[in-house]
Amino acid sequence: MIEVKNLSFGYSGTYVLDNISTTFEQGRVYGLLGANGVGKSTLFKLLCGLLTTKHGTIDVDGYSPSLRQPGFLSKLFYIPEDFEGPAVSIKNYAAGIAPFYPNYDEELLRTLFNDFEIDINRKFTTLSLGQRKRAIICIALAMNTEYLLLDEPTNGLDIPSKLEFRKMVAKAMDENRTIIISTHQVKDVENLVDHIMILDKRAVLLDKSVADIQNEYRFEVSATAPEDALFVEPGLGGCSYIAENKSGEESRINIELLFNYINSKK
Amino acid sequence: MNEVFDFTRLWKLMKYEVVNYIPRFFRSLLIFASVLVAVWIFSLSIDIDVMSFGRKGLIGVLFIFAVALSPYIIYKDMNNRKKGYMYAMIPASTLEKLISMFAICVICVPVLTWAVLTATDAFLWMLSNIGIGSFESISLYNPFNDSFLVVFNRELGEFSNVLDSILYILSIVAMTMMFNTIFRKNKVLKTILFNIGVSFALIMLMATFVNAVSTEFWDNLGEDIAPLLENRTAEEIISFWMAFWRFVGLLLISAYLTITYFRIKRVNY
Repeated sequence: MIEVKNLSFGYSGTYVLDNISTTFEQGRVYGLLGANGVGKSTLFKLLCGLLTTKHGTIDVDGYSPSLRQPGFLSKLFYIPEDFEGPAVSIKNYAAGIAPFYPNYDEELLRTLFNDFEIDINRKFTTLSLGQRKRAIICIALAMNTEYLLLDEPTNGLDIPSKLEFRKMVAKAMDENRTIIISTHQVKDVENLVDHIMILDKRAVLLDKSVADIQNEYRFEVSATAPEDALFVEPGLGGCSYIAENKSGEESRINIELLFNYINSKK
Repeated sequence: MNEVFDFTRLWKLMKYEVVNYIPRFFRSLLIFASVLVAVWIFSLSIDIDVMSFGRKGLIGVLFIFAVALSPYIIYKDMNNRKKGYMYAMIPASTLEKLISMFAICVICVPVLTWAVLTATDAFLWMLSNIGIGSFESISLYNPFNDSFLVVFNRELGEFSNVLDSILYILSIVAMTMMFNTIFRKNKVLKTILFNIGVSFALIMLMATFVNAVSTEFWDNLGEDIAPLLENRTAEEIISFWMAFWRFVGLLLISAYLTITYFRIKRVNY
């Protein structure tokens, strides 16, 4: 479990994250949402130990990320938004890092490369962003780390690859694993996440499980919005709206609508 | 799990770095070897004999350059804000990363550089032997006997030559490793400027000191030192002086490596 307590971090005197506390539990897929510049990537880098906390603590199964201890690093795999990759072939890179990860699954890697149609003899530097992302996602999943941090993983992926990505993440998920996905492409992760966290400048606006959100709110599409609608978004031939869930019936979450509603309340 | 040092993990890291990072050095090695080829082509065009001694000197200079630049080439991205995270996220401790970096730069790089440069020279000498070019007698450069320090230290015997050469290579690598972790951009230029700046500052400091103290001070110092030098041969005095500089060299290497360790540990991305 990742425990974040009173975390604050800023660049050159300006706080990006201010007094944030949250937990990331095992066996869940977290969707981390927020506008540009609210600190999603910064939070990821803090969780990985790539940045050092200024105030507050982060605890990952007893490890402090900023110490970058081998035991901690072998539990976690991080893919940044603008992944460039080393100047070596995919095959050599995967073979090089695999021995560091105790749960590495070679068979899974082969299957993933096959499913994603990846030419493992090509160098990362000769691939497009989408191809690089596909390759590193396969490698990340095959390393079988307990924590997988994906910053905008579907950025640069074509439509079939996005579908394949969703399938792969769903397949790779188990009770010992925590996946945190930061994204603007909410449709890509709509059926994948079971916990949503919405970040705003210096604050967490929402940090709830999908089940709790479904219990609290109703997401509907109709020709006209009811009077008790909390938030309405007009669309072609009708509107989408959020209302309180009084009936207790579950509706399918519209993350984009939820995001806009939460942001409108601040 | 030992979080500070584990030999198996170090071995894995070295294998990873040799496979993933050393290929970056090959292109630079080709550039260094092409200098020899350029000299050979020049010898063809003006029809003069290029002696083994001259080529040894050239290979020596190229060797020192290659070894000194190796951290900048092999580990150039280690503190890059975008690309450096891959190095930081390798599940190995800071100590293992430091040892692996040092070992690659002081063992793999010199061996590789020596092999490529002497092989190029030998190949060009062979071509000269069949009438293409003018490379006189083969020049097998030995980095431990042909480095700059040895020129000043020929009388003190082979063993001290080897030690001094090793110390010299270690200190250069440790220094450039440190600057590679400190500077993020224009690393080589900044290192050169920094060293020029420090040298200039030291010279100015010395000059100010020499000017500030009275001639009486120097006379007294000379009188104080004179008894210490009595009954000492020139060789003993040189040996003492060399031992002093070796000690300074070791101190510098330790300082460079300590700073590099903390830079690897604390660099933010």
